[in-house]
Amino acid sequence: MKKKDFKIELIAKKQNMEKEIKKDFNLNENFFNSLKKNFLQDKFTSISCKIVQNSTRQHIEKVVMFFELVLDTLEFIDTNTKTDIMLLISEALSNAVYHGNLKMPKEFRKEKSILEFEKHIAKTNPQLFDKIVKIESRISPEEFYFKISDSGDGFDYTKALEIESPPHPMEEYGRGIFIIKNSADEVSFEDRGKTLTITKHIGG
Amino acid sequence: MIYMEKSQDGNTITISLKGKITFENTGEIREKMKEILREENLSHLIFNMEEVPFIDSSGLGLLVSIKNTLIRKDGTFTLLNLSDTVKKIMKQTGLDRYFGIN
Repeated sequence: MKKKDFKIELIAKKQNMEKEIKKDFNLNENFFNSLKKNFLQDKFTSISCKIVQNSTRQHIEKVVMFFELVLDTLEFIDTNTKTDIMLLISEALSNAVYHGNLKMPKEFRKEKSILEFEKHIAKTNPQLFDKIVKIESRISPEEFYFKISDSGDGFDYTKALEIESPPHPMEEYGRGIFIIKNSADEVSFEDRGKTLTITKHIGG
Repeated sequence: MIYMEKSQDGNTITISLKGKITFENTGEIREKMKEILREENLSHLIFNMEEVPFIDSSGLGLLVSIKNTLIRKDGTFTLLNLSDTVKKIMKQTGLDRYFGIN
């Protein structure tokens, strides 16, 4: 995949406007300035996007920040809903990148930092950073929809879906999937666990 | 980005954090905390969370790991000035009681 293919395609709708507004943003360039200048000054009633990103920290940070900026412009998103959505995005994205694409071993999570893990990959297998994550999302006054696919090997998600209560307070790991289940209204996996779809109802 | 500022008063160490605590930086915080947790006369550790607007599962795991370490040392680990958002996330995951948060 060529560098310029890492992008966010945005479609937004405004009140009393038939036509949708479409814009593409390149994730590798001066993304935030152009997003703020050309897009986020309007008040939208719904926003859809398709994102293709790689597995680098730069792209993760941009995507997380992108959603945060978008949520702040939508009047129907209150603080609690924003927290839930940011949690869902953060957990789903870190699972897709660090578990799905980069296959981070447990000892790195426990003893070392993600930075160290990234340095280790940069030395030993830098192509891993090119692995793609695809996101399709739609935020409307009715619901938040988020579909994320990684390029890893998948995992056995049946156990993950069975989780009903949070892990024991002294347990260090295992809250990610619980948070996703707890913050969303519908959660499903496809393609051997490589694709996760989340829906959260918004409107009352 | 996360900023951490340390102050010490006898056997109490207070760390003031500024920034989100998420998978992007828990490793860095863990690294910095390693040294602090090794200090022999540390018995009370306080995180001032006033300027932490958000935390994810990886940040929660870090807090739990620090709490577990302090318990093993017969010490205490207290979280102060939690934002509403962080409080909500800790309640959601059943950690509010473990950390004595109202």
